[in-house]
Amino acid sequence: MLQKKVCLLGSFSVGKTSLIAQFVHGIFGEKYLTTIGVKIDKRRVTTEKGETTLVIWDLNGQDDLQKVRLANLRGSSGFLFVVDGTRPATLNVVLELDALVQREMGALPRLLLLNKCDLQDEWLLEASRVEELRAAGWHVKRTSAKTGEQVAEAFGALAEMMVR
Amino acid sequence: MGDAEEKEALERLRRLLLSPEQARLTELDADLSEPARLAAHLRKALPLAVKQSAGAESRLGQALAPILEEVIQTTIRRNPRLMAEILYPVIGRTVRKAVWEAWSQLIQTVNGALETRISFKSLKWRWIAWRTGRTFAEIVLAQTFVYRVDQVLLIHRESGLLLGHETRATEVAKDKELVSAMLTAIQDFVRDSFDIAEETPLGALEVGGLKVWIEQGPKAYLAAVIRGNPPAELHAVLRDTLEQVHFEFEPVLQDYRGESEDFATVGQFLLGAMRYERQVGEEGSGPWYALALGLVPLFLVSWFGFYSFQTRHRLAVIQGVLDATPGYHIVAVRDRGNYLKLEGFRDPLASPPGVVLGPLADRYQWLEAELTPYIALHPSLVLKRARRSLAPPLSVRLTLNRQGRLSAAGGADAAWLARFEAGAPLLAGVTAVDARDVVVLKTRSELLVAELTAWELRFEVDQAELSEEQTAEIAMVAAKVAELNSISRAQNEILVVEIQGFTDASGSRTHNQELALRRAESVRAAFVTRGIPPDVFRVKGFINAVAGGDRDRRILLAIQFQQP
Repeated sequence: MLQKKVCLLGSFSVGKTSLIAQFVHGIFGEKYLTTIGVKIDKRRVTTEKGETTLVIWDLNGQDDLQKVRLANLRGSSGFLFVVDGTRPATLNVVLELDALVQREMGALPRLLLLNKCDLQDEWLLEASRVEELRAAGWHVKRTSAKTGEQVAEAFGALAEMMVR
Repeated sequence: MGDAEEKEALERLRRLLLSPEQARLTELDADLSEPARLAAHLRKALPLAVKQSAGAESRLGQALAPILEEVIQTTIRRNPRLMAEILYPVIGRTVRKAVWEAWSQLIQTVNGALETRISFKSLKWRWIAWRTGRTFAEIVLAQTFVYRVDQVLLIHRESGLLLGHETRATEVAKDKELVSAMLTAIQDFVRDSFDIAEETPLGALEVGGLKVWIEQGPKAYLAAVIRGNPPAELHAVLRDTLEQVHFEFEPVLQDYRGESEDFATVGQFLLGAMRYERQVGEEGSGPWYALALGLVPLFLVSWFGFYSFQTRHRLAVIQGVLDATPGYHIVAVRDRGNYLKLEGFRDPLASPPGVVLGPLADRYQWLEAELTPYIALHPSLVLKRARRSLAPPLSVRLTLNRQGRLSAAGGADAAWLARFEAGAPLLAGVTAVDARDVVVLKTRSELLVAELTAWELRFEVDQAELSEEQTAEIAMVAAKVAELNSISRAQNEILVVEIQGFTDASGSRTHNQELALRRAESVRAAFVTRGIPPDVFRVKGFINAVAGGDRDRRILLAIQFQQP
């Protein structure tokens, strides 16, 4: 039985919390996010190495890099970065966060989630931009917290990357 | 015969016949007319007269009463203190009796009140029991402990992942993986919010009757969830547990990758921290009124069920604790009602079972230990044995690695080094020796200086008085100071020993400054009573800025030589 710590990072209201809400088991309410800045949930996934428990640290929106609490990131085996596809600026925040994580902790398994893919009409993230990211080595998944599209797959993919 | 002659003859005859009576009469007359003589007679007769008169009709009493009353009144008026003194023993007893009667009445009232209160309480407990689906006895138990460690979580410090977890079977544990991560997050939050240094351990959280005590280690920390009011000694228990875990799991802790298998056996160590202490007197205060409610059978059934479960659980915990203690191999633990019987093996260097079990064995009147001595190869005992047989100077630190390599480091004389190299490989459990870090000190005074500067004396929190143990240790060190002093005198140098007292960072600065000095002063006083001249010593106080635990509260010595 493996346990892995995973951090969920991204701007305010990109849908991090609702993204995982229906896929995880949790006992702590959202008030923890606003009070201590972290909410912990877990999800059990099956990987090629067997059962793995992901302990997911949902961190409060980090638009101001100065305010990222590094202690919360430590000991993490992987990262889920979340972008709001209708707000391209949220991608810049994620890229900065990623640079910070790489600087502090080195290269670790990470996944980029382009959320709110159900809002096709308002989607502003260009396909070419996404291709650039893939070319730069990002694993990208289009997700929807609303429909649940690709969310479970995202956890599974990150888990496989982490146990490898 | 003449008339006169006849008269005289008669008189002589009368005197002859009556003279004894005459004398007696004269005496009686004197007795009656001379008060002193009358008193002497009355003194003999009066007690008897009073006694007889008191027996029959108490006319004497009646006659005397007014006189006595008057006498008493006069006496009290004239000298009230005398009367008070005379009556004091009587009054004291009377008052005490009255007070005691009033007191026991009060106690009865209070008892009554308490019983009704307890009956309310017991109804509340029943309600809780019904609501939570636990037995009434469990609830009573949970509410009647002075303290009880309900859960122990061993948490990886960096990631907040759960490494090990022990809980009482009676406790419903919430999702422990989430709790351990959240505890870690909360600590990060507190440290960040109040600008506390990273290394500073967060000691405790408290919510209602529930306490979470946190003991920090370098790689992992221990969180104990406690009900009630735990004693300060519990900190030491937690610390010991954590140190043991760090020792046993050092390689996996070094590079933890989330594999639970690595910590599969950690539970036996955590069990040792599951201490508890019951509230005195509440046990068995059977609520008789429950009889009226017809609940006694229910209570008894659940109690007995729980009792036997509790006994088995307790024995398992005791066996677990002993087995996890180096130097014990327990074959059987038996509950014999009022005593506990242990069977198995014990290394004579291991702590006695009573000490290891602590409050776990409190409910038994005595321990019967049938423990055959054996030599345990647990590293801590191998090290203890090595320290005993090799008797290293204070300046040498002996360590043993997991492969059984015994290393010595620090200053020693050549003779000791030779003894170490010859003797250490012969010790059971030592597979290799390493003396590369031993510095050979040529002179006796060099060795003494090295020993004295390596020595430290630790203190309990806010404590400056020396315990018996500390005093004994100081006696051993004082002999070395005295020896160094006489050597330096012979070499025409003046020995100066600076006694440095340290405190930890908790508490106010002024208090700590004063405490540090008091520690140094009490050590100085102990040295001086051992015959070392007071002018050898200087005292200084220091406060450690960053908390580092136990090592903060101590005494160190600094040695200097001055030219006269």
